Amino acid sequence: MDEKIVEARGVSHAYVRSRPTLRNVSLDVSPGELVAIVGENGSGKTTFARHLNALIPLQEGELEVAGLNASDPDALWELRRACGMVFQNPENQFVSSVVGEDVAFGPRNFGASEKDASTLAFSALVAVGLEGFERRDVHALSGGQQQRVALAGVLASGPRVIVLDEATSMIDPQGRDDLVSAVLAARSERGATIIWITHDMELAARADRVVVMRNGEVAATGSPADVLTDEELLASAGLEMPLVARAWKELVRLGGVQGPAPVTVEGLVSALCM
Amino acid sequence: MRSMSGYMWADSPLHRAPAVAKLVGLLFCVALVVLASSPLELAAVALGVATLVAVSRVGWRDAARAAWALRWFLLVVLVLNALLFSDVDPIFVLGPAHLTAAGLAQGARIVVRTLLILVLGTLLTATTRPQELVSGVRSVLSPLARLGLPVEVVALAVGVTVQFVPTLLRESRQLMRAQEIRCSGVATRGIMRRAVSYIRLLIPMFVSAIRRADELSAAMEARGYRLSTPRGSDGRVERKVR
Amino acid sequence: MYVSLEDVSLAYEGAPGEKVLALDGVTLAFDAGVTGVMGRTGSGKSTLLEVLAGALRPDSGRLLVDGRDALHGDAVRGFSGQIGLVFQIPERQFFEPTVEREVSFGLLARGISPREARRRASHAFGLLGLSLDGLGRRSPFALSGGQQRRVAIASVLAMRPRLLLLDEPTAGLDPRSREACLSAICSAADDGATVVVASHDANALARVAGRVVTLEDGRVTLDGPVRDLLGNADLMGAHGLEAACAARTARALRRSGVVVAGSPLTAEELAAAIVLGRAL
Repeated sequence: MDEKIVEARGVSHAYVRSRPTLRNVSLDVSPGELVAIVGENGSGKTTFARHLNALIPLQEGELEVAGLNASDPDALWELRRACGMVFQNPENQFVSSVVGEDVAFGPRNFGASEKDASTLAFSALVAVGLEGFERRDVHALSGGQQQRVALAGVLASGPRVIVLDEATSMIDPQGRDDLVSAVLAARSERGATIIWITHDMELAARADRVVVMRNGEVAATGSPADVLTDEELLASAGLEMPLVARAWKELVRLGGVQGPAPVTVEGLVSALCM
Repeated sequence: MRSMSGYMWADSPLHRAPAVAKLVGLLFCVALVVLASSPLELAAVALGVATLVAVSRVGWRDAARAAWALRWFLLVVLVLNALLFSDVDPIFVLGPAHLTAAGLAQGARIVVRTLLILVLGTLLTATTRPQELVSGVRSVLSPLARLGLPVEVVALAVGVTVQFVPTLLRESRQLMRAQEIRCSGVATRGIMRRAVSYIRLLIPMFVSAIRRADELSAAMEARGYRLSTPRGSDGRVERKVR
Repeated sequence: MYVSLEDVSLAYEGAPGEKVLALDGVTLAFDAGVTGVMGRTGSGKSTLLEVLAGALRPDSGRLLVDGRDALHGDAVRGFSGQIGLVFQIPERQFFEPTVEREVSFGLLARGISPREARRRASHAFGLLGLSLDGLGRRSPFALSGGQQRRVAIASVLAMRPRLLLLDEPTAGLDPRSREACLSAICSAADDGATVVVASHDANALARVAGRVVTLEDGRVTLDGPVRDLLGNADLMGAHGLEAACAARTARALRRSGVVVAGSPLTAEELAAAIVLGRAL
């Protein structure tokens, strides 16, 4: 009954043998789930993400994504079709300077005809709120728009899992909010599973589940309410609690409130009104 | 006016000419530049190139922009050739370096050729939209598909390179300014110092180009790009080479 | 260092056939302490920094350093040695084989003795929570992203600039590296430097800046104490910008009927504001 869309068992990886970047990482993700992976620069988040669509070959352990074995070379393209990825730097992921052409790149690679690829590109651009941008020059767009073009390029291939690797870290707050809404829409309308790698604790607080990575290991996994309020755990991973949780702990210290710390504004409102 | 890709909005016979014709023309002109060796021949080719610039309505300043950007590099090339090319009949000798007339001539020849090719390349990108250029490359190469040349791959490579050029140019300008600021307060006008700082620019540029290429190839792979065409064993359509 | 811009404009060529004003009649003055500059992408923040650094010449207007014209004459070179500019993603500019040579490059180019250069570099590293002994011999390209950024900032701080300009210093950093960069910025200001930080990160600016200026299409739209701007989510929102997270949370609480006093900028201030609100 409990179908998993991502199943990682004991995944380990080392670029240099003496310094492993991933150590025995196990993680299950259910279809439609929004999982945030948080951790310091260099904690192994990106290396793990790149395993999910087999950009990095599996060295040790087992990994299945959308029922496909990541170490099976014959399943490689099906896997990449099932699991799309948006990268950190918007500038370095475009193959064409024309928006429509770039978005159609994925579907074309996966065997769609020119006509089908254009149709898929069109509807993907609509889905990210960039209708009518087909003929625009990608380099003339803002960073936030570029990241939405990249998201459209992934959506056009109809993925079941979308991995975002620090996709908001180089764009302005407006661009970030637009990208977040586009991703959340893709999740609710297409039922896509979202794996979001981020430093943004406010963003992580909106996930269904948070995974904390530390020195290449999964240090903790659980609901935002559990994980993002564990000050000691987060500090050991070089992270801090979301602002709401920090404010709550201060409130508790000042006296007047008690109970578990909320992590979102909505949570804080209801905790204060109790 | 110049767009990010180097394309300049203007209306001229060169802008209207099909990309295929311009590509073939470029190959032809480059061949002429390489074959011309006497000062007279080079002067004749230079006159031809100047005519093209005038016809293109790109403007002298913009046509010379790439060449101007490489001026210090070209100067180093000239000096090295003048000093090291030959040791016959030196004008003067300084350690292992021999300044000779033959060396000067050789250096000048290389510099003039490089200049002309740079101007020709600038003209092509200034009068051709990136997408036309890519489809032009595809058309020019398509007869070679029968010989087994991966035309799609080459066309894609050209497209990707062309669209990376403005990013790299912007980055190189920023790097130059950053270095100027870092070395400011020091006399940076000396030619040797200029040449050295030019070489220092190349390292971060090189690192950046490699890093970008690495990220781009990951992004392309993630979106299902592969050099070999699909086998079609599981019902996928096989991609046709146009 | 007291730096001022008087009616500065600068245009670049846009597409097609139009001029885009990156700076449009900007008049601003910067004195000791940290000033934050906010604005959406393309609002002119980076251009402003480069003009202040003397790296870009404005089309019109004046740049005055300590009251003297810094665009013409001999003054230009004299000032330029006292200015440090940290570009966006500064780690992209690394070019030396070791961290130590990378950091001491600018110092040695200025004729400072190797011993003194090492002392200064070591001090700058300390400000950023790094150890020159630990990292000095490694290749700057082999460090983690957060360490690279800190090394890049340290190599500018080691020059002891009197005017320190930073463009998005915290973008893409994890909390630990981010905090290290912010505290180094504060200590440069404590030493008397004039610091200008352009950033999208309202929380970072709330942490370091005393004053905030906002830009929109190359024009100054707001200019005031940090609390008046970043503590006011409605005001910032009206300009398409983000206030500090504490201020946005306070606004959301008020909208849900919770009384919150004042304009909090940090989690601690938010908690105090809630306690105060309850007492009222």
